[in-house]
Amino acid sequence: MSTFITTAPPQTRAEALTRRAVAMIGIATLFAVIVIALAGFGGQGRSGPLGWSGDSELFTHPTIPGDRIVTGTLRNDGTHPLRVDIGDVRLLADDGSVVPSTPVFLQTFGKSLWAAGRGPQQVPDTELQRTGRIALLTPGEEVPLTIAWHDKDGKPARIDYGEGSLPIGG
Amino acid sequence: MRTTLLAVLIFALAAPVAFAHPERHAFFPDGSVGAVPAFRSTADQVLYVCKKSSAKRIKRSFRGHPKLKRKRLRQLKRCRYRHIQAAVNAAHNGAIIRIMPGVYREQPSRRTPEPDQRCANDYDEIGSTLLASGVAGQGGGAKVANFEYQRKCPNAQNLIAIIGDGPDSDRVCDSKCNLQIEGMGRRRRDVLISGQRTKLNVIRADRADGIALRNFTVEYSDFNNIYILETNGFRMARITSRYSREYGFLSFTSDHGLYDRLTAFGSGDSGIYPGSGPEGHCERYGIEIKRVNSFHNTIGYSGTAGNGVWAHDNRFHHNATGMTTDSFASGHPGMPQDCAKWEHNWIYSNNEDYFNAERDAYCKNTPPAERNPKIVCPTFQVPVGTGFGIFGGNRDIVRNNYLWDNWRDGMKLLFVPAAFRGEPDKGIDTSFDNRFADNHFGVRPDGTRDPNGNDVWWDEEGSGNCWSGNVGPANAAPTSNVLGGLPDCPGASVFSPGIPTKTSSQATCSTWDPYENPDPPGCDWFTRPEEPK
Repeated sequence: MSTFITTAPPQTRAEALTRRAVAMIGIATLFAVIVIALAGFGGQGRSGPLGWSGDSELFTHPTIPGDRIVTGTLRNDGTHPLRVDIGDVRLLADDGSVVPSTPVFLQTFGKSLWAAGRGPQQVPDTELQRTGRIALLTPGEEVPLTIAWHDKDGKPARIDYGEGSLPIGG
Repeated sequence: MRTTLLAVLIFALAAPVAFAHPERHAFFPDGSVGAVPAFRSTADQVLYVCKKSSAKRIKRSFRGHPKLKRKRLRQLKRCRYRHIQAAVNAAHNGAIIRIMPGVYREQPSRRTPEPDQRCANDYDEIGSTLLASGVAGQGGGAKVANFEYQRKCPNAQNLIAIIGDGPDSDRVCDSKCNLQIEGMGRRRRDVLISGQRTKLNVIRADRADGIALRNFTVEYSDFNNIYILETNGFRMARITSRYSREYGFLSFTSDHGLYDRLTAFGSGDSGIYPGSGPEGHCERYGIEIKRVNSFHNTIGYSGTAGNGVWAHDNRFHHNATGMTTDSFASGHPGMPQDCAKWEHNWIYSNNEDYFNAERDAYCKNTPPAERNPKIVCPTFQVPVGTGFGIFGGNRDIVRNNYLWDNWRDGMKLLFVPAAFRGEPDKGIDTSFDNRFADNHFGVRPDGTRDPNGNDVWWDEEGSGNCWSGNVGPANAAPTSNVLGGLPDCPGASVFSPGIPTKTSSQATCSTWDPYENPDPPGCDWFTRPEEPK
């Protein structure tokens, strides 16, 4: 291995060719790694560790024609545990403006233990997680996400969650 | 000194907010023993409670019934107590407490502080922080008063507390067992027990096995008008509950119970709530509910983990939603909900518009203590215009009911993932093997057509859910949101994950908050549908 990383000039033409080939293989490997990383974290405009697991669905609410909903499952493709608070999840239009929306880490209805106005001053993490207010994801772990918005409020292109973003269609 | 007073004031203001619906760590009584208590006419110990006005009220109420009037006036002479709690305190096992006509506000109980510093260490903690790995950490939970709190400080949260168990660890009634508390008026309204929203619960029966209550009116709790907890054997009959901030009649982790001829209205959550019902696993029904009339509540009937309930011959009407049972909450024993049976109920006209802009503004801008208690402020979100919803349930039977004039849906069945009650390892364990048979949709019992907006809404999740013998007006098939039609019984044996566009069309309703988010996008629940033609 040390042969290939020495800075001494090659002694023979064969050695020079070998070094060049090894260097090209190394560069190609590095390039491939970068491409794979981009495909994983930045593919189709994605940045950060979260990506769609399978297809997300974008549809018009069946009884509210003016409301749009996107739903799907997110996966932590990163190498570290990740916490996302629902307050950090926003919809962004192409020009970066925020489209008002309601996100929740759930795929169907659920409700809180506490009635409106009665919760403790500090709601336990377990309750926040259960009710889709936070997501705690170890690498490879998945969580559902549903976001709805009024169509009149804008045309969102991306879901931003603070540490990254991903396209709405996935 | 000023700092101390300020701290006390802040604590006093903050504390009632912090200890609410979540239940303490509760457990089912031993269902292999026990029975619904019978009403008795005699006992070794009979205690009378009365007010100064009782004689006058007896004469007025029993006018035209001279024999009964004389009897009550004779009984009145035996009265030794002005407050119901005082009689409870004096009662031995098996006592009968007779309440003479009057209004009972239980002033001594009201003077007991909440929280009570004598019980400052008697709390359970529910929930916790989560570590970055997602594993539960230490601390960070919410405090809920535990049984010791109720035993040592019985009137901190309760206007009338019937605490049956002692300091031992068996969770079985030792004293105040088999009490019978009954109003002695001719009508249930002759005895009024009024909380005026000063206490969470007006009447609490806690490990009070064999409790029997009848013939009075109860009002204005801050949480439950009548609350029966960890009790084996209870009976409630001919009682009216009105204007509770949350629940009218609530039983939890209790068994061998009967709700009979109850009237419930004006509840911010539910008129009746048989929650965490007996774990009979479809071999028995431990709680029977009959001849209940529940109306003008956010929900007429609800029951998280409402297992082992047989509800029949009731009326749930003119609520925002008529009935629900569900598998939503963590910390409710008996999850997931299963094995309830609803028969011969009338579920109709549940279209009360408690989520409109005007009501939203009133409830948001008026602190609870300043509200008109007769105005319902919803404490939980429901789909306005719905007759009956099963939100995560298994092996339930819905049979021979009439469901009409519910402007959104007559029936709604959807699933709840186990993660939503904090048990992600269980994956998907609802909704399976529910049977809907021989129900009448969109038609009144006299045969008059009165349609629901849609008869059956189903997310198409689960297996074994089936519909047979149900009919709409003129014996037509019920309408539904299922394109291929509702499956006949016994239903599909293959699991269906459901239709994502259906399930997720309900998801953002979870984020409803009357203060911050009263009309979340993507949720149609809070707009009353037009009356169907």
